[in-house]
Amino acid sequence: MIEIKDLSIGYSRRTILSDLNAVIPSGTFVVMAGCNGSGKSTLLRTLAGLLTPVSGKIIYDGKDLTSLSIPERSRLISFVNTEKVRIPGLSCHDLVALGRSPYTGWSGSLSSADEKAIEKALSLAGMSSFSRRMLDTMSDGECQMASIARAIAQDTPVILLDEPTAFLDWPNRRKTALLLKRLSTEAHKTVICSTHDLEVALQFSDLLLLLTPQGLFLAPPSSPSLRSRLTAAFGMDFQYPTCL
Amino acid sequence: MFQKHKDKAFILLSVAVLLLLFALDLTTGSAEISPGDIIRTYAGCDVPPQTRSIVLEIRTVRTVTALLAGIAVSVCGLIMQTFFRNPLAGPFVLGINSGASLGAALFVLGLPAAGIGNGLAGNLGLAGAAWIGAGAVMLLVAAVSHRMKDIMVVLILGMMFSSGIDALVQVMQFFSDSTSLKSYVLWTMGSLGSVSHSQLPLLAGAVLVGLLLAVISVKPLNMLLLGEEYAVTMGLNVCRTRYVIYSATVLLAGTVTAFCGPIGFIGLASPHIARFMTDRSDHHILLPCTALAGAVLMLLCDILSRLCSLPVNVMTSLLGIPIVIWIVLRIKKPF
Repeated sequence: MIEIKDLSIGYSRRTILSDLNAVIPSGTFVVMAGCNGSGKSTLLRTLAGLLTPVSGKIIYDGKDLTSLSIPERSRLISFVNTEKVRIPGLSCHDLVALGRSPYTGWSGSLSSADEKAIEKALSLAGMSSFSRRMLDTMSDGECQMASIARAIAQDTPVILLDEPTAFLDWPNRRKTALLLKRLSTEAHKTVICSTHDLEVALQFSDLLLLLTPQGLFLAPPSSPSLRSRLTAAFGMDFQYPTCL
Repeated sequence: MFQKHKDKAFILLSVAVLLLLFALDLTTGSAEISPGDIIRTYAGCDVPPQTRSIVLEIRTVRTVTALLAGIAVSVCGLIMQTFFRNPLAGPFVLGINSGASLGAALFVLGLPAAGIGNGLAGNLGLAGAAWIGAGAVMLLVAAVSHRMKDIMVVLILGMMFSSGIDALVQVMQFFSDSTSLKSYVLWTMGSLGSVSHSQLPLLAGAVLVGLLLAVISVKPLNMLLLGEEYAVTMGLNVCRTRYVIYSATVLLAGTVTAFCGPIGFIGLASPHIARFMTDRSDHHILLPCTALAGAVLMLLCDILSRLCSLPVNVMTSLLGIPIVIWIVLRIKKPF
């Protein structure tokens, strides 16, 4: 369970959002939505511990995030940002293996348990056959999957992703969303991602977290009050996808 | 599997070339000494005392210095390229070179100008001053960048400090007399021969500690390949890593610059050669391969500079610049 209590987020001189409150249950797939500049990335980075809250608290299973050390955080939360991971000279396996960093020793050499975790992460992401492929020979969609596999290998109860479906075509967006959904249902991970892709958000998420200047609004996609909130947030009449 | 063979092939090949060049470097020099005499000296057989002292105190010291210098600047270059995620970063981007130059300039140009004679201007004095200069600039960069989250700001700071200090050194050059100016300019041209028999342990010790710091940074460097955000969320204490890397930089590039003068381009080129030859970015493989490439390049430069009687820095530039141009042309995108 993640509790967001009277949280204000922003940078040292500029508070972007304040008085945020929400309780996110464990094992759910939460999609964050909001306009450009609404603070999605800032909230995600604050949840990941990359930014310090301006005020307020983030509590993971009863533990205050700011009281945890960097190594403790790395075993609790894994993070996938929008930066492309297509690094020349690194194989898909190498990338996923880096996810084991919180558990390896000073030299970073992999134990057989680490190798097993890497294999498992690759197979969950459907990337087993890409293990030996070099990242710079893989497509955007494949790299995104490899990147999520790295986060899975980190073996944390919480996975945060910043716009994981950006740059991807529709089949890959769907594939990514399905994988994230499966991580929450099958592996009982709490998955929180931000997106501009409301179609994906409404179709696959358990809960939609709407960021508005008035604060956070957390509701299942089927909630009747969500539509008016979305319309208000995006300043236009919002058409629900027909597939719903 | 093919990848693994590629690293092994490169390591075997470069070790073989390295041994060959090491032997070749021992035989080059102003005095004519046959390979047989060199082997006899090492075997402890009877050779003329003059030959013995040239082989042991000059040739061996110079060759080992070249080996250490090549390894040190190359490993430092690799660390900087990964640390700043910039393929054109070299061992001197943090201002090490300028700091050492300032130290050397203060010693060579400043002391005579201040009325203190050149009496104490021994080689260790010059190297010591350059080393202190490199360390001081590093401390300054570390102190100012302490609160900086963005690594690019640190890079810009380092480069700005370098330019500022270079300007200061130029002012000193402008006002100095011709004798001091010449000894300063000679220092900037670099010399592997200026390290004496008694200074070698100091150079070797500092470089070895620097290499040790580089080795313990292999895992952090691999994590930093993905960028600082990923590294932090995977449990890396970026602040501590920065200090380890700063220290390694002073010990590797700072020490070599202090003793041998600024050695250009090898530190920039070697990591790219290693990357190109092995097709890997994993530092477990890249670090030893870069060290080997640097050692080979440096020995080659030393031999060529002996044969042409040119300062070694001229050679590293002549040999290094085509490599760097080739790198720039084949880079598809900065990693």
